[in-house]
Amino acid sequence: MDDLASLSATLTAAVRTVTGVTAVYASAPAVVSAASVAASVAATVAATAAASVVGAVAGSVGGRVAGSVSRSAAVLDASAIDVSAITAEAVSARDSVRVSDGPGGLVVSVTIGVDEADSATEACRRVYDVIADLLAAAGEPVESIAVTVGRIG
Amino acid sequence: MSDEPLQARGVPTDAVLPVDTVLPVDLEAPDAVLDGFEPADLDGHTIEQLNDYLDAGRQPLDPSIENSPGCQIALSAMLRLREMSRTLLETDVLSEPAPTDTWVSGILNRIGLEARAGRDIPVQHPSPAAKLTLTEGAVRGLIRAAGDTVGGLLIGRVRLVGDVTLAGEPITVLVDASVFWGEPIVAAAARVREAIYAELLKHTELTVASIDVTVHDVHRSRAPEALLVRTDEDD
Repeated sequence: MDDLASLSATLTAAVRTVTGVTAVYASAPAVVSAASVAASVAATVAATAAASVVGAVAGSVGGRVAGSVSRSAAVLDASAIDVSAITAEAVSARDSVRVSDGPGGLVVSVTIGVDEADSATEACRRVYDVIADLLAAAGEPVESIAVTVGRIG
Repeated sequence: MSDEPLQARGVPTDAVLPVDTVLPVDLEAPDAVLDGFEPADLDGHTIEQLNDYLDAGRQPLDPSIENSPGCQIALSAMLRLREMSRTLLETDVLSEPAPTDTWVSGILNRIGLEARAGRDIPVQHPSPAAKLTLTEGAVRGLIRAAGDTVGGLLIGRVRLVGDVTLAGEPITVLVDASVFWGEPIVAAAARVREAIYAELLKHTELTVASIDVTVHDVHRSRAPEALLVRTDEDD
């Protein structure tokens, strides 16, 4: 996981330097606010509590529910969580190239903004080429690289 | 309201219309639903929230807005609309009733809808691992910006008709606009059409079959000549 995070940071830095790129957005951004984090934590608490009950009744489900149950003690103490810290971390994490493992190799996705003065299609291809070259140089197998232009200008 | 072209309604399209020829565009018509509409594409924000954010001078800085391409497209369009509305309002104080809140909010709603990501427009690349796309929202934003900045018109609505997700598929660009008083409509429409086509050619691989510009409305702009005439009348 650390390797993927490190790779994401490296790719993000590289994409930012591509001619014509004005911004690097998350591929699937979401509103992250104190309120939404608090709501998310509350929902997790409720869901985990429910999972605990289900796990108790249907113990054969095994490790997955057991994992949820084991986490529940920490999650249930949601009031102790520093919501502002979570918010800052989540916002920072959004602004990056997404990297994950797929069956055929790495799955990479990024959404960019492009300068109006440059061609969006050319900038899009340049970003792909930069990412592909870096991964090839690192000897990483690649399943797909998705580059989306989310804004022009 | 009729969707017939101006000419079909007996409106001369090669001349300046009289100022009382006001044909309000129905920006909230039932068919205003956009292809690829995704409620989350403004990243959970509403156009009203973005409006308030602009009112507050973008302070405090909201990363969820500043890092959202959809929000950024909408904010840019809203800033252009504000500038043009201010110009219209300054003149309208002298010449005619101010644009209604409905007129402005209708365009704001359209901006909000059109800024959403929508469909994926493919970009070609020889590698099979490449999945390169432009969002429909980015292209609609591009079209709106081209139309707004060409001068003499205000873009009300932008639509891409046809399957933009298929490379090479012919598509039609439909643009509804308001023309400022004193602008020859045909010339203004031609300028917008050329500007939009140039931008699409530069930034996309779309096969553009046609760009249809429909002028629904005429507004007085802050033309020096108009002000001069008004001053003479006052004297």
